[in-house]
Amino acid sequence: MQRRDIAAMAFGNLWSRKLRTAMNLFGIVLGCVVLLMTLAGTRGVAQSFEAMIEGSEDARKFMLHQGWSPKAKPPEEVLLVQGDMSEERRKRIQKHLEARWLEEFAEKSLFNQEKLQQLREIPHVIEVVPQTHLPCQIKLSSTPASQEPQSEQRRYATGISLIDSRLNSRVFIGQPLLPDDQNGILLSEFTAYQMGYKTDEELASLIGQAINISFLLRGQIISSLVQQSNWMSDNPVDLTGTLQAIEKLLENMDATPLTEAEQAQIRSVFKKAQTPSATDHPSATDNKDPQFETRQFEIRGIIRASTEDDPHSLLRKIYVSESPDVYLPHPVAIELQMSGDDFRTFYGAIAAVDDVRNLKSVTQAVEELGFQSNSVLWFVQMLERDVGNARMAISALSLLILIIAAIGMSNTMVVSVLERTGEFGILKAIGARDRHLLSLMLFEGIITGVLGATCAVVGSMAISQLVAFFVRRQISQQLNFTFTDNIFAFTALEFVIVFAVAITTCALASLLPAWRAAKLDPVVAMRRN
Amino acid sequence: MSLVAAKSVTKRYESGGHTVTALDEVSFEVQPGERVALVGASGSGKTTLLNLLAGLDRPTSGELHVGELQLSQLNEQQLAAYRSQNIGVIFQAFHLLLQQTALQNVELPLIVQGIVKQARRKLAMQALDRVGLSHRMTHRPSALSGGEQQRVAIARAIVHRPKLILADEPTGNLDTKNTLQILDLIQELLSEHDTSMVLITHDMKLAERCSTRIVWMSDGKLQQDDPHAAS
Repeated sequence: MQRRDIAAMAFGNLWSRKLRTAMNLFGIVLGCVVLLMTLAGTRGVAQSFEAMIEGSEDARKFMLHQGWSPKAKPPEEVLLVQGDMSEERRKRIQKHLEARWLEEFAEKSLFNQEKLQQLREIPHVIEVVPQTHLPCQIKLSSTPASQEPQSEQRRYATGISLIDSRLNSRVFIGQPLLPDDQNGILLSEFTAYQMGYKTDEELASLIGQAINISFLLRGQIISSLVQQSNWMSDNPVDLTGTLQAIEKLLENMDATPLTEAEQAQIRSVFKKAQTPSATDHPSATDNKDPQFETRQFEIRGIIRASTEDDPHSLLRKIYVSESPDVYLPHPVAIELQMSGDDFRTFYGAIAAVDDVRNLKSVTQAVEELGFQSNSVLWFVQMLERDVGNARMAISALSLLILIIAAIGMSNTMVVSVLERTGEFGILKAIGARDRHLLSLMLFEGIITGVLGATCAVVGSMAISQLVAFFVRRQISQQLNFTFTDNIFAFTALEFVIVFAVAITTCALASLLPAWRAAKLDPVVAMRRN
Repeated sequence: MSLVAAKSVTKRYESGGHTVTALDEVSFEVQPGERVALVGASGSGKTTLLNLLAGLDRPTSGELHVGELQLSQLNEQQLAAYRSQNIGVIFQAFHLLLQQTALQNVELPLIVQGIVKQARRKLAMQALDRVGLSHRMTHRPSALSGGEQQRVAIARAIVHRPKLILADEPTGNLDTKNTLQILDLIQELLSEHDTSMVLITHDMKLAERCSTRIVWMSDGKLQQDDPHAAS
């Protein structure tokens, strides 16, 4: 018998037993659809996520802050844990001992201007924006003195990246800051609201207006202490009074019973405020209060806060959690912060790399400089791991479905062989060989596998379109974001895998029935007919 | 040289813990073109002998030659080849494949032989035409009468021009009219191609009508081999 004749007979047999063929196909199609959609779905999700990460400015950024010197290692005796205990417990205690030692003895890596320069020189780093927190008071130059509020509300300003398109996209009135603009600021819509500017027209009237910002450059430590004290106490302390008291204390330290060492310690914490000269800061205008330095800027735009439905806020939240009143060009903010008496270092910074693929090497280099970093790398790795686990779990489930389908199929094929005993007897009586019958049954299985895989491919493509439609609609409605990436990524590899699995499963399921058919005694078989 | 030569052929099998001797030292010959009727009651061993001749079963002892082949020495594959090339079998119950059309049923021996579609279709159509069923070739067995089904079975038995036709009660399921028509058809076809036949029947009239020699069987033995009985 020629192969094509066997195939034609197999087709004929499947066609003439439509219900059984359909039942077998159903199981195979179900298993294959689950398998294919799992493979394509997990790949699609991974690719979408990868594309989102690669295309996201926020993903290319990472937060860094002061860490321990990389050379700081506690001596072995410090890490010695005595007593009989499990290794896990011993390691946990060692970790605590190490942390305590570092806290107490290790040299902290200070984040100063020199370190900032070193960070900027790391290959692939395109921007480093140190975190600046500048307590301030603001006042529009055009506000008549008679309308000035009795006490200016305490606000704060921060320096921002000038190449952050996400941040710039939140400027809804006016224009974002340009890289060479050292005199412009962005005002938050909330601050503007508090200042009495409510409608769009009123907000638009702010654009181009001069604004005086008085920065609290000295006494920030005292300011922080007073702020914390006020949070924790129902007896508020007046900051100005406290500052004046501290200043007097510093001036008259010799009159106190404190020793020289104790006086030095007090001075190192509460440095005496110095009134800057006008030549130090040409833009300085009005220094009514020696603690403040006032500068004049121009409002360029009104900026809204980041919202939950901004899809990129998910990544951004990893390193941004503030909503300042005033956004300054970061070079200006750095200069102001470093000109204060209290802080000569930065707590942390947000750095950007040219490509998310360089994030790992850059964060390693940053950590070698004595910083700790916090990037989306952990998130990417966690997602990759979770997607991989989900892929494995659902693939195992689909294989289980296929195995069950194969057992069912094998069962129905055994029944089919029993029912077709007479037919096989006749074929043997007219000269069909064992291998012909074996091939016939195997062909039936393989055809079922091919048909099942084909139906599964077509079905999966259709289902994926439907699912993608609903998912995109949901994302669009929930996140106000047009999602265009493929949720299911079908590739030739997935198709090959599904066809291979389906054909192999069906062929294996047919093997036993085929062997039984081939070994039938034709005389007995025909007698049963 | 004889077409069929059986020498002391014995066939025993186990049934219910007992050994049953279905054929006991049977010896007989069939000459080319000869039509032999094996006549006997049920259980006399006729069908067992026919199964041995068809290569569907093997003798327990003895030699069974068909042409130059000694069947007892052939393996399964060789026996299958022997069945597909040398013999045509007509069964009482027709044994047609119910899912196939008349034409496809007739094509089966040619498919087994590996003959290409165009050639085998032509031969099958000729065979169906010869048995008077060219107008029913696309019908399935379920749409054919008993007589028509047997005609299809006859066409299937002759389509590959076998040397030997084995017919097991070929008219057992047919009415008188169809029986006579089928017998006449078989005789015509055998005469056309000078084909030998071994016919199994318990009907003496049938045996006399279509055979040139009648062999009586009883209890697995040949009782009488009379070359002139059917003259």
